[in-house]
Amino acid sequence: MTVKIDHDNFYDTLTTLVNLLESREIEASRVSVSEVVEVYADYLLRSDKMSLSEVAEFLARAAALILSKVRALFPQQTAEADEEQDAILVERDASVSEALYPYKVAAIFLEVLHYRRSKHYTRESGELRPFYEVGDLYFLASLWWNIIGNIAAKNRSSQQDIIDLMTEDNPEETIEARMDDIKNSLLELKEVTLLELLSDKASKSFVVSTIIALLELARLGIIYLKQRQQFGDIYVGLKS
Amino acid sequence: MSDSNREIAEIARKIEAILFISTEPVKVTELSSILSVSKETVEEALHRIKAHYDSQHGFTLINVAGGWQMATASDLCEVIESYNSSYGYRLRLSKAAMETLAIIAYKQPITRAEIEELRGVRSDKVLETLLSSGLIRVAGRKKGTGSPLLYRTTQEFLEAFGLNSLSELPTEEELRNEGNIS
Repeated sequence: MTVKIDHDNFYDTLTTLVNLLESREIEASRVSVSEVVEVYADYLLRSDKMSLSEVAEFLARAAALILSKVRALFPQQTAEADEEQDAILVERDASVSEALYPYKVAAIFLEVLHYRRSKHYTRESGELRPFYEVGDLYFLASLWWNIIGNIAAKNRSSQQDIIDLMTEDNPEETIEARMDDIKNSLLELKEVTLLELLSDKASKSFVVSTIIALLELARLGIIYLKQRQQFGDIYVGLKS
Repeated sequence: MSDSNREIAEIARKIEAILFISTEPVKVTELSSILSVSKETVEEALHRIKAHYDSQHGFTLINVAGGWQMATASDLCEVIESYNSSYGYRLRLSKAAMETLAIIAYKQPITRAEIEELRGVRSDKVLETLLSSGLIRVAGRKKGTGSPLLYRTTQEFLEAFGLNSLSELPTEEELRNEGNIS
């Protein structure tokens, strides 16, 4: 499996990776922790300065990553294994606070409901729950077509109609066009403010595409973004 | 048979066909939109189908997770299990898991630390079990120190416990007034 880490945005990428693991969208056992650490070391070597809080942030994220991986490598937790925690629970029953009481009753209520429900059998789909893997294009493509198929079935239209509808206003094209517009404005005016860039056409999509275009231009090192006073306007200019 | 009765009977046949092929509960609004009839008509047809099944068939209709689904009659579960032993497998939850699930159901969205504070014991393993069984899901992060994960119950939770919605659970006040539990 390949995990692409963007060096300029290392922490966000690592946070995203940890979030994906914690929400079970990718399998922790397939993530190479050593590779992530190597990339971080590489990032450290390239960066000019590194604050203590950034290092702490990395350590916290890396710890979460290792914990997820360790859990994934050990056998799956079963109901029997939970009994350990039950045992502690029983020991503490005497001192269980009043606050927990309603939930203990609710647990019994749920048990009864579950027993009743388990007497009914329903048709099974045979489909496994979605499994996501970073870089698994085949799976993502299948998921995409399933979603399109479901929307088409619900709207009683063809899959092509849905795709046409979704790609009517391609956001990537809009952002690229907006990047060109901003560059052209800056060639003429040298420096503009964010408010000037957003004036007149402040529709939601226009604001979003402008912000993304500015961030992308800044990431590429084409423009600078400066805020000269707290809560003041943001100045945008071409880097020399 | 009156015209109205004939119409309901025809709608009931269509609903029956949809529910027969569906592997998950189908909402009344969905049936109403597909069949272009009012929600009241769909509900009347559903109750007729259910009454008919309950009187002389091996299956019934159950109202779970906000929708309707065909299911085998509860008194026939042993027959189904002896026909296919794989049907005998049911999700088994420990006391700790059931208690944690109850807390999440009532307090959602809730963090692990909040659950542990209520239970007075570590709950990470139990949360793992509930997550892998699909009964709970991660529902974002709480704003604040450490941005802890928030947990919520899922649609599968409603289906597994035969609940139509969370509002069918007794209120916390009702639970407090229950007799002593063993």
